[in-house]
Amino acid sequence: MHIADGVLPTSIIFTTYALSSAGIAYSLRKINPDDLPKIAVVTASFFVASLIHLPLGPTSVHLLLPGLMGILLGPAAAFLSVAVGLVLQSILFQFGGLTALGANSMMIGVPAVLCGFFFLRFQGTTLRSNVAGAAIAGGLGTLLAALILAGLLYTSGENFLRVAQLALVAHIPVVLIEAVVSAAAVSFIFRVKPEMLNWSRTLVCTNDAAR
Amino acid sequence: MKSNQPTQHFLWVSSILLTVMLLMQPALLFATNDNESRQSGQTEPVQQYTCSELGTLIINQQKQCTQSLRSLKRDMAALQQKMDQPGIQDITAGIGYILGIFGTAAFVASRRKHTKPNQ
Repeated sequence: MHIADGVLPTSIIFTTYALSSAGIAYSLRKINPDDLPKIAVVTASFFVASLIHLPLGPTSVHLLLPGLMGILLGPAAAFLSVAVGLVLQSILFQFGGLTALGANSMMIGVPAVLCGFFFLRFQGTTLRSNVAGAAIAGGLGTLLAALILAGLLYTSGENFLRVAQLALVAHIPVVLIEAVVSAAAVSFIFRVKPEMLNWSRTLVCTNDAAR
Repeated sequence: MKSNQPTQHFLWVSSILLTVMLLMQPALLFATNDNESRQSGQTEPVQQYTCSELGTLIINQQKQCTQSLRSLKRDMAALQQKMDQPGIQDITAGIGYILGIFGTAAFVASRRKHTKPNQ
């Protein structure tokens, strides 16, 4: 799922770097300092999730968790979390090149932010609506990430068209797995610590009101 | 005196035995060496191959070699793949980095919060 060095053209690299820097700046402005520990824990789980490879035919896939990150952190903090996790994955595991870091963080970060907004709207107050929202957000996040990946690969030339198609097909089962994982996580959190799920709503409202 | 005599005899005998054994040790060593060399010498000249037999022998050996080489290469590829995957050290390092970064951020934020009311 990570884009490697030397795949993308230079213009795309610079554009994605600029866009993701803007996203990180937005995150840094919006973050509530009291929630930093939670952001750290979610970032760590995102960082580790990509290491659990599930063999699938000729390739192997892994969890991406953009949906769950958006749900747990809200749209504001999710982008920063993704960026930090990807920087460390790139440095420590050589997952994705350093030049493609902007593209990679756009690929996971944008779906995470969108899923955060989506969950905010569809969350509701009951367990069922929360779980349904989480399942849809989880699936949608992965689907969007795969679409962005395919789009980025498509920009890099005709040679990668086939790879882009393959990436889309390979992520169909991941969408389902991701939806199940997000739903399970949210149903557990809703029963154990429901205020954790309302956090994103309070962040967007209170922080805007405070500034 | 009489009671001492048997012990003295025993001492004498034992010391003589010891010296004899010590003197014989090099001879024993050489003897074993000789045996070994003779055994290894025996295996070499006994079998005599014709040219074609030697050829088949070499071909068989080559086959064995290529087989073992292939399995070795397979093992090496598997090892390489295993080494490419991040280990537990990398994972813990990454988690530590993340917690450290956010911990520092939280520390800075808390200091800011504390200093603001004073200003």
